[in-house]
Amino acid sequence: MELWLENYLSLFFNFKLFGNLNWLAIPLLIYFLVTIKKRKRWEIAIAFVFIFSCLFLSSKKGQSNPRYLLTLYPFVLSTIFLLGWEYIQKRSHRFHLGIFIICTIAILFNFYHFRETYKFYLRYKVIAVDDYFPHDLLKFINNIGDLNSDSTFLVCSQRSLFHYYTNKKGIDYRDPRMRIFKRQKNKEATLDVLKNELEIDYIYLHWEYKPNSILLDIISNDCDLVYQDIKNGFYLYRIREKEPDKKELERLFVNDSLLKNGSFEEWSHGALKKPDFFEGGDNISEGMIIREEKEVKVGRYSAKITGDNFNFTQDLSNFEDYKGKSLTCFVWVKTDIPDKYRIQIYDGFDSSFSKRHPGEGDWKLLQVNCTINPLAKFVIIRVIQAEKTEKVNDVVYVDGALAVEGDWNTFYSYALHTINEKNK
Amino acid sequence: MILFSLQFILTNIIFSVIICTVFIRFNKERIHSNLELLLYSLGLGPVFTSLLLYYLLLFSPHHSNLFYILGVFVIYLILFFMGRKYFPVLLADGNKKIKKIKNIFNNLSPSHQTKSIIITSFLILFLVSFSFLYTTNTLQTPLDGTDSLRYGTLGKIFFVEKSLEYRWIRIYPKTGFLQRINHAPSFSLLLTWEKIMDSFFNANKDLYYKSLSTYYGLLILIVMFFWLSKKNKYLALLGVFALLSGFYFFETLITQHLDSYRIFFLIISWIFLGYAIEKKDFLSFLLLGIFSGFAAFTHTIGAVLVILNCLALFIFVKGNLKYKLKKTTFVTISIITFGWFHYILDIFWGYGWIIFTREITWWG
Repeated sequence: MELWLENYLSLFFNFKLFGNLNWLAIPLLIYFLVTIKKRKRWEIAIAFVFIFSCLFLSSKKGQSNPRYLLTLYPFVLSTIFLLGWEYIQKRSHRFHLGIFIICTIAILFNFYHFRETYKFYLRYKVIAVDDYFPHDLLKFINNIGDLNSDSTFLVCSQRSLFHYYTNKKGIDYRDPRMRIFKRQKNKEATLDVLKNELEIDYIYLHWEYKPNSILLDIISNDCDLVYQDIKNGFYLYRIREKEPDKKELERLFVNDSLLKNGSFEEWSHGALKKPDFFEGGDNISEGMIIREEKEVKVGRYSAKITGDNFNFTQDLSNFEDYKGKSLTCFVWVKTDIPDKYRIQIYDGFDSSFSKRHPGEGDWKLLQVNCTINPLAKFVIIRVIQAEKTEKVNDVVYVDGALAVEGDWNTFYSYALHTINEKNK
Repeated sequence: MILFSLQFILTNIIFSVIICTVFIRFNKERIHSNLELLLYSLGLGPVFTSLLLYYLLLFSPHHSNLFYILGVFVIYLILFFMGRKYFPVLLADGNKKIKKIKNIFNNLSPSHQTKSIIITSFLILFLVSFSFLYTTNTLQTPLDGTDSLRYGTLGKIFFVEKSLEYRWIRIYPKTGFLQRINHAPSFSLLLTWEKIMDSFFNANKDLYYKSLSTYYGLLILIVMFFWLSKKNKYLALLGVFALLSGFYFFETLITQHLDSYRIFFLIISWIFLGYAIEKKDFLSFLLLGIFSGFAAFTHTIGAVLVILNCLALFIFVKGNLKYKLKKTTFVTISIITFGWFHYILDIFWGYGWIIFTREITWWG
């Protein structure tokens, strides 16, 4: 029954897409067939075309593509009203009025019942208050300058935004040239094909596209996230030419940060006390923060914090220079506790938070962007903030707290820019 | 916005009216209402322009923008001369209709007059608000529909290459754009047309292309209103709201897609199928052929369903076998000329349409 109503007869019973009067086509078609002897030839001809059109669309699985069914919708509805009128025409005025009222209620109910869908589209397309378009990402792609004439993007998205809006070359994931890529059995060979045969430098990915395990492995381990548009689900990755110069990246964390001792190398009060320049709130007591020498991301040491419901912070010393400006803070965080830890920038007026660490037990670079209020009297960077979970033995490692001026989309876009500027 | 208005008025209104006057030339016996013809013709300006571009780019590719714009204008100029005597007829019919409405209004009782004024004001206010929001907001949102982006990218390629070559070559080598579209490129060519006109004003927009879905959606609403209002005005209003209460139709008015564009021609072809069988006049057969051809030219579904139109005409038109064959052949030739030609090319020399699947032959 459900299969018939929602699939084969969905043109008549999919009330959300085709209204709730379309089902009347079925009894009215029976009425038409019963009165066929009285019908004119042109009416029978149109009924003939209509019935065979329905059969054709069904044979093309029109029910799974409602856009195909839409083809018949205005015609079906018009016919319902014309035949329906013919049927009720000789009845009393009151009968007409009753039918009109019932139909109006049915139509209004449909608008009301699916009001959220209508509201969404009105906000999105008519009043245009919600913007679901990756303007900045497409602008970013158009401005990428480090490509030679053969450099290509692997385009993993069904929508042709890339080709319509950018001036770059792309290979679609359905492109026949991708067969050679799909034939590879291991990551190394696949990466080699991507880089050297297909000359792909960037991977443009929409969340709807599900990469296979090899491509996922390449994205995770051999690419840098260059740009992300979380709202619209677009991600841009750059395939690494070579492993990034770790020392060069480390230097960014040590030298470029607006935070003092961002890489947690200085512990002048001892390994079991707080690192220099960082503070904890009331909930951080003696011994909760210790120097860590094994789990390290940047430099020689990191900070290991055990506890619950705390902030580990540093006041930005020259915060006045950044009033009205944007700041971005990146912090390497490692923990196996999901959704407990994040970072925050707070200026007394506004707070910005990073996403929470997913707790998969590996180092993740958390990021927060914030525009400092021009009236701010201080700026606090909470390089780790632990939510209250009543579990006092939870452990988190923090390293490489890098706060920089500017509204950077990803660490890589900042690093690429800064290293290129320094090399000039 | 000025350029968009110019493109819209020229292509959708002026070109359509020119085509309508040619139809009126064949409607001397007034078998059809001229205003009804005008209503259907309002959809023909864009698609006929697209067809002209199709033939120009197919048979005479790689010329300048000026060549194509002149090519289109010359054809419309010829049509204008063919129908020039019938502009006053159309105007007179319009005036008559307005007078008739005035008379009806004057004959109403004062309370009914007030009611009519209130309802009309409400409708005008609604239309003005929608038009304002549409042009200032909806039209300004970027093109983002999956299909309209695909067809749009192809339209841009036609504009750059001044050729339809890449309709039959799956990968565009300059950007790597991959397409395999079964439909005739009529929707894409409307972006090509916009770009050609833009090039003379140093502009690079897609407002006209984005407006097509709404334009044809409104035309479908008006056609439905027109037919239902023949029975009863309130029935017509109810019908319009019922159509809008189906979300998929509502969506065509505010997003960009070719659905309303392709559906319009199919519906009108069915209207003329009825007329052709009932009235059996030359204009009905011609318009059945033209609208069926355009239904095919806009989408593969239309291309298949218009075969049914020919079949239904052959079966149901009254007359002997010779008459039936003559009329069906005339309609078939019109359908081929006005759009099915593309699928013949595709079947024999292209990808094979939906019948065969083969890689490209001589185009590549």
